[in-house]
Amino acid sequence: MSGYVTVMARTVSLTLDAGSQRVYELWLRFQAGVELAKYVGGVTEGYVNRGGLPTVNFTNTLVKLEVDKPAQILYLNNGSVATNYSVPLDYHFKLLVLGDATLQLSLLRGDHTMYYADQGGGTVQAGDLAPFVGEFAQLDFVSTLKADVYEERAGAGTMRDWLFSGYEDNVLATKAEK
Amino acid sequence: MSSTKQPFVHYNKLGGMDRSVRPFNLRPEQWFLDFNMRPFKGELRQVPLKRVRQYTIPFSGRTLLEMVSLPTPSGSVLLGLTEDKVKRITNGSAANLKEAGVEVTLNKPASSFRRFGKTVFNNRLFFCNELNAVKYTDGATVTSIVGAPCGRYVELWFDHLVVGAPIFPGEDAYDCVAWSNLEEWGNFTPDTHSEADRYVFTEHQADYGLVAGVTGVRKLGNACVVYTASSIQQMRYVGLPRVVRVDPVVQDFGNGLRYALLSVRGRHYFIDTISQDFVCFTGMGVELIGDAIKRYFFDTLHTDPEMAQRTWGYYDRLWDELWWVYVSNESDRAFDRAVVYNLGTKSWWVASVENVHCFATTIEDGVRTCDELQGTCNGLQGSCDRLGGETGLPVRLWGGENERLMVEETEDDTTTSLLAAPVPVLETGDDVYGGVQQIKEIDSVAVQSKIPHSSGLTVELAKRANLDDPVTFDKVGRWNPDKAPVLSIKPAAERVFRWRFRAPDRDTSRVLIYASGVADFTLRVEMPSENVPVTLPVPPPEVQPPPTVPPLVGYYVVIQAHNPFSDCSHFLTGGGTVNNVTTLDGEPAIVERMSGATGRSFDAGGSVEVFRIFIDEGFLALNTVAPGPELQFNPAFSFARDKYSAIDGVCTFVNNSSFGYTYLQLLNAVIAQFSTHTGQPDDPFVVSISDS
Repeated sequence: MSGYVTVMARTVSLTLDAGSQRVYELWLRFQAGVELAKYVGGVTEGYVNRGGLPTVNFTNTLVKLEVDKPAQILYLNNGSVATNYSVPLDYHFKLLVLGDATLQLSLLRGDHTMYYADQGGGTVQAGDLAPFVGEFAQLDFVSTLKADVYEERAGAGTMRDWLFSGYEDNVLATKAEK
Repeated sequence: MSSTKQPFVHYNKLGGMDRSVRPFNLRPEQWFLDFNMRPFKGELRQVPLKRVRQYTIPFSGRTLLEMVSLPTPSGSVLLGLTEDKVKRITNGSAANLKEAGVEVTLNKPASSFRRFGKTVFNNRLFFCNELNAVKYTDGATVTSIVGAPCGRYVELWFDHLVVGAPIFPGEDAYDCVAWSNLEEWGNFTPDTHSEADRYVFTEHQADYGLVAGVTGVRKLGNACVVYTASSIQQMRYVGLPRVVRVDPVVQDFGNGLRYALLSVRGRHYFIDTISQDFVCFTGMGVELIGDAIKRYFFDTLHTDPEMAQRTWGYYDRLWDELWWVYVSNESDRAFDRAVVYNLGTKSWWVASVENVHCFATTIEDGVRTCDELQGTCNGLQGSCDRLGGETGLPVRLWGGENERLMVEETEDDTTTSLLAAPVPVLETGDDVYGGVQQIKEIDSVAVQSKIPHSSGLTVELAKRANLDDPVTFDKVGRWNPDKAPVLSIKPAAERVFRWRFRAPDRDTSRVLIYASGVADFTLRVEMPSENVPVTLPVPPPEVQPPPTVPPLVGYYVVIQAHNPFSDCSHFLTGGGTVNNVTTLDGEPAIVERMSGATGRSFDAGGSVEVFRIFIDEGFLALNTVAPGPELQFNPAFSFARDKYSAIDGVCTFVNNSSFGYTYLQLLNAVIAQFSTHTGQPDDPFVVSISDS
């Protein structure tokens, strides 16, 4: 093995096409074979760290999910202890996005020097994905949960600051029977 | 036939709505439906829409369940409670409070909905729920009361900690109220020398109670009033040996919705679910106040008891209104409706809400810490002695899902920045215009109104031959103040009429978004191995040839701190060490001290300090400079102090010994200067820093 760390980065992204006026609560499945990294700050929910920053670490892989609308960064390989070998991950989490948000999934600082094999395992198999030699991360859309029901912007017919003072109706008594 | 056409005037319509009488018996000033229109001080005006002011933590998935504006000696502090966090909320941000240096994480319900019992005592907020024992906070830290139970309600009463519907280890005493020993809030063990005890409040409960246990605990004068679904009982403090005397004050009335009890101006207001009425407890007896609204409320309240029990209330002092916010049967779980009682006019109306979970009125805070300052130091305005002050502007805030804070609209808000809400509706009662025998004909209506942000009003008319015929509205026209004050309509002839005014046609249905909106997708990223995975045992490392030093492609930023920068350690937190600087992608900035003693610290009182900081693409990305190539550190590169005689940029910092500038703030300021750098990578960029 080489002691030289190869710094690598891979990124994929996609833009949703569901309109900018609505907020969706996505139910996502994350499957990966990556190292765990420690993060500071933000909100930690299991393997997910919403916001925050990575701690100083030269070797551990970072898995970052960036969303532009609303701007948010999630790290998906949060661990209480950083590992120098890949571990299988398979979990679900929720994410609130606008309908035209761009999601960008990145593997940063991947390295080829430490494998799960070092721990006596083989290639990493996570979830129901095929075994893979190397590090990988896959984010699958599972379903759209109900969203923040009032996030739709006020529309053209929106009424504001209506002041009502009264009305008069003109009535004619016809005395006629129908 | 001579014309008997005459105008009927309806100008005093400030009486709210009333469902206690049939629509043809309404008083002239009342509406059959007053939705989102507030009658107050001679006006009938639409309730302002809301806009999102901030998310305390953007899209965290948590809900702001409670907010309290806590009075403290240094001004009001806005506190928020989510399912598992205690937050101090400031303008634009929020911080999770800590207990003994550790961020507080409350026990979070797995699925069911739980609010908090809370009370403010001695500038402290006490809170608890069924999963969390009583804690209190002074706005800075959280303190657990060791020995105190969990419970639904908490109150401080004659220096006793009172917990309603307490849960002791292994025992759910939901029908009890327990109190601690005098000034010993963690001692709930009855003893001959202790005033701690409990009382079971089932003695006067009726056999038709729909809700089990204690449903409210709140002080009223010297008494502590305890509610069940069918009784009201007062606890009076008498000291040892009996400590507390319990008197049943009201039987057959009680609070049936656990979070609906309001204490305002020496009276308690609550909802009795057995008689289905709104009730005021004066301390001596009850007054029924809900005649006008009870039918509407219980007809629209969600039929799922769990949803109905989410109903909560607040008092809006600005308008002197009691708001009961609830989940209607048109919603699945979000708070979407409220009934409103004006204490001054004793009138009712109804409103929509934007899934609000809590309400608070607070004072706008000034910036208190350097972390809240934005921009570069030399771009700051104002003076240091204004930091931490209050602007004096009262702000009315609503909290809700995803930790969002909402405020009411102002005239300057654009319509698209506002949250949508169902449009207001005014529906009159039935009018027979003097007699039900005659057939009347209506051919016009004059509306007196002002709508600055709408293209008019939709005017609808329902006509019937019989008072008990079903009501069907027909749109008769759109009234627009810019065109004609009188709306001429197609003549409608019948015996009974009813008007309805509302916004122009628009889809006002709630936006419930399900799976159809976002298409399936998969994002996959991978780094295939270039090597065959090694198997154990790991062979001894090979002897590697000396590494070839790659060409220098990095950028160096040199910081020179000059006198009179008397104490450079003000830049630093945690003792002035600059080792652990992390860029956004996790790569550390390499910091080397180039002058003075060894180590990586700024010296207090040093004359000239020179540091070189090696930054990489991550750091540049953080500061929105286009990323450069991946950088390598060149250990052979060396610096001499005299090399930096040419200064490329200047950063001036306010030297206020009360605040330590964080290293990130320093670097951000330096990098802001660096963004103008046009030199080559190996050309050091020198920034001089000094205090003001």
